[in-house]
Amino acid sequence: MWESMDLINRHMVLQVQNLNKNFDGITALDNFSCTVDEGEILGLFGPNGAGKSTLFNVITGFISCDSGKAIFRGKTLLKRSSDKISLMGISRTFQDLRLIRQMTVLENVMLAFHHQPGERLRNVFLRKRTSDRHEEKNREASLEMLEYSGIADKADQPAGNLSYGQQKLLSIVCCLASGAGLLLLDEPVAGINPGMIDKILSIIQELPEKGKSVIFIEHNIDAIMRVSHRAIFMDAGRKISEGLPETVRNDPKVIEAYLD
Amino acid sequence: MTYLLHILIYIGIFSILSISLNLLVGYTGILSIAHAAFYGVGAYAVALMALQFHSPFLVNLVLAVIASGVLGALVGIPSLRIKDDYFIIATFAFQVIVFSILNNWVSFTGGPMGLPGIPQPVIFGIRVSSHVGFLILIVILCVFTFWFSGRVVKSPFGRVLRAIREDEVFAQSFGKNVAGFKVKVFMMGAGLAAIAGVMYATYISFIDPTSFTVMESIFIISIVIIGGAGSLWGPVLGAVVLVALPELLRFIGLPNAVAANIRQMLYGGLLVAFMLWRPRGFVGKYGFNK
Amino acid sequence: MINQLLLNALFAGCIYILIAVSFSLIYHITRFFHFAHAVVFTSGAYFTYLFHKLLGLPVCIAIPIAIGLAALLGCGMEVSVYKPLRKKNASPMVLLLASLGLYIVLQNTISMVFGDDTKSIRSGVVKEGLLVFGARITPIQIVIICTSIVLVVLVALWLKKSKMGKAMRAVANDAELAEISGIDSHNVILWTFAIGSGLAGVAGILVALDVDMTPTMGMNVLMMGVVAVIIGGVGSIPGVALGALLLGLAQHLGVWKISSQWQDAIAFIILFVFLLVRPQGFLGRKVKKVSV
Repeated sequence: MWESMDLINRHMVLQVQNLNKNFDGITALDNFSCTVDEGEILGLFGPNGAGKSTLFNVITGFISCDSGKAIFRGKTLLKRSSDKISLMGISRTFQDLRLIRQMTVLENVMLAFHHQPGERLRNVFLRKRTSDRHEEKNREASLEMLEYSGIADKADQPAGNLSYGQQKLLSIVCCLASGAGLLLLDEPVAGINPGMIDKILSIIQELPEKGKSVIFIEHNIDAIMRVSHRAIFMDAGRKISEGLPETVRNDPKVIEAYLD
Repeated sequence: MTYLLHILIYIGIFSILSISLNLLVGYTGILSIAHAAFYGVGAYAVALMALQFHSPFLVNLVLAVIASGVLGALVGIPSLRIKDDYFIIATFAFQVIVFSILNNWVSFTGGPMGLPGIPQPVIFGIRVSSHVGFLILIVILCVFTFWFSGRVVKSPFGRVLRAIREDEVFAQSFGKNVAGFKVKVFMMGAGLAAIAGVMYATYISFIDPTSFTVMESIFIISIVIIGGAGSLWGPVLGAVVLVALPELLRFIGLPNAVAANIRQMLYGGLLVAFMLWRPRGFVGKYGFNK
Repeated sequence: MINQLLLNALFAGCIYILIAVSFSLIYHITRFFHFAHAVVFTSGAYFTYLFHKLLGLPVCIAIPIAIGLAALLGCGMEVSVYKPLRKKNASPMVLLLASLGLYIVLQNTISMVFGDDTKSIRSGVVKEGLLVFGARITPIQIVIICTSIVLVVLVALWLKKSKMGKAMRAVANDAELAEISGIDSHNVILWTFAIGSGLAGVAGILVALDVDMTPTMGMNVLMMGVVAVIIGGVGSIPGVALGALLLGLAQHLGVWKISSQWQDAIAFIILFVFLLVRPQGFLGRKVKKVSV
């Protein structure tokens, strides 16, 4: 119905089918399926322990799943290592905000670029000029991205010096730097002040224009409403409701799950 | 004067050891207790080749480095499956296994008796025999090791190492094959340590397993940490302090019997003190914080 | 022949059990590698030597004093080094390095004070062992086996039933949660060091009664204990006991088939294999490589 209408001219970027994951008797994912289209922002919400972060971990290869399929741009994901999956074009942020706090903001962004010749030992010694050229190019691109997100003035400071909100912003910039086509953002605006929330949400909104697709997890329903094209509500590892954000929010099943 | 040269040569040898270990401990955050094993492999490799095959020094040097490097890569591979604390124990285990082989495989390594009569290096027809000669050679190799380490550390490869040091999950999530990087660092650390082993063997002209024990590994770790992990000059400074300082004690007239003990207590005590008050050592940039 | 092998293995296993259980206790609760445990072990023997051989006290008085002092030594390290470090939020690696430093300082102190040569607290002639099931075992070895078993059982019971034991297990499981529930973790840790160090001291004395003592004997025995903990499983006393016995068996089988000089190498090769294949040991809980 609404699916076929939206899919007519779009390519599916990610398709996840019947994912099941069990942890010591706790069902983290229960026959979960969803799709993400090119240029789509999918909002994922649900109570704590609903399996949202687990979903991210399975897609990005940090956790194996018991059964199911995950296909990204036609290629299967599930048996690959997390670094290979990242190279395929998927980047993510983490719920507990991972960054290299001892490195500068700029270094964090430059780290995120894929296919850096200078990361290969051979090139460190034998093709230094090529590595240096790429470094310079990445450096300029990084500064542009930092400029775009408004934290360029902090470029040479240790990432640990940034405020919590700025750090969250930085982690998204890193995802941009990686050149990923699909960004998985885990609670990008949780626990930060309204000004920064606006900033980050507007950046997320502009991602489809840059050719990116996004899945983001949030507890902040407002954020889901403002920015997602489509939303999914999860509980106990299962997809409870899916559709336009307004529709999902008003779905009686969703209201019931929250009242439980 | 000869005594001073002797000390400087030792400082040189331990600088190479600490600079190479620093790549692992200081830049990648991997505490390896196996470094003396690679030092030993280098020493024994050159000794055995020189004594059995009479091959030229430079050939022996290169082969020793390669042999040690391969061994280093092998130690690095399990880091994929074994997590932090346990991995440190695994390196300890490797160290002891290597020592056991050096000490017990008598027919091959001479066992506890060691290998005497290791010939002096002959490079392009020049025999290195005097203290000055050895010092020059050691300085050249030190400079090389320092340069090599500097290149690695300042490159994007080095940046990935520093990322792994703090958060390898983050690095992995941006496409870095963390396990591969660790194997390569081990390979480089081991290969460079072998250079020190080669110099030690040809300088002293006699080696036995007691120079390549767990305690030696711990000594090298102490040098890196006290000098300053995660910086280029830290290991060198550490080597100067920890090699020269105990020698100064000789001048105070300490009886020989306790000199060795005092020397150890010195760096053991410094280790505790630095951990309590300045984990990043004198000039280090990495304090092993969580 | 096989009986002798089994008896030797049992004996070795009993030595390893004490050091393994004591180490495992401390590791499980404090979550770092207390290397200096090796010198606490050694100190038990040397304190006994001090009080019995140098000061002339009878063995039955010297031994309890020595055990008490060993326990104090462990607590001393906790109070003067580990606790301040934990207060600064030091990482486990920092604690490990400090522990290494402590080991070096203390082991060399023992060397300086007592000398590096082998010292003995044994009295009398080395008697030929008694014949038990066709294998030879000395009276002292029987005492060692019995003492080990009794002590380990006592510790296991104590952990299960006593108030402090339960508090210790709570802290081992989840330190934050325990703190919130009102358990004073500083106190618990202190008790852990006291008991663990006391056990180590006993182990040191028992070994010295069997094969005399040297200042460096601790590190090797500790590593055997660590191997036992890893193959048996961290955090499980029966597992550790099993690991210790299996280690003793494997080593003595190896000694029988190859030669005794490879004993250490055998233990560490076994360790390596376990770390690769089954890091949680036989009975331990699964060790997650990294939590995401």
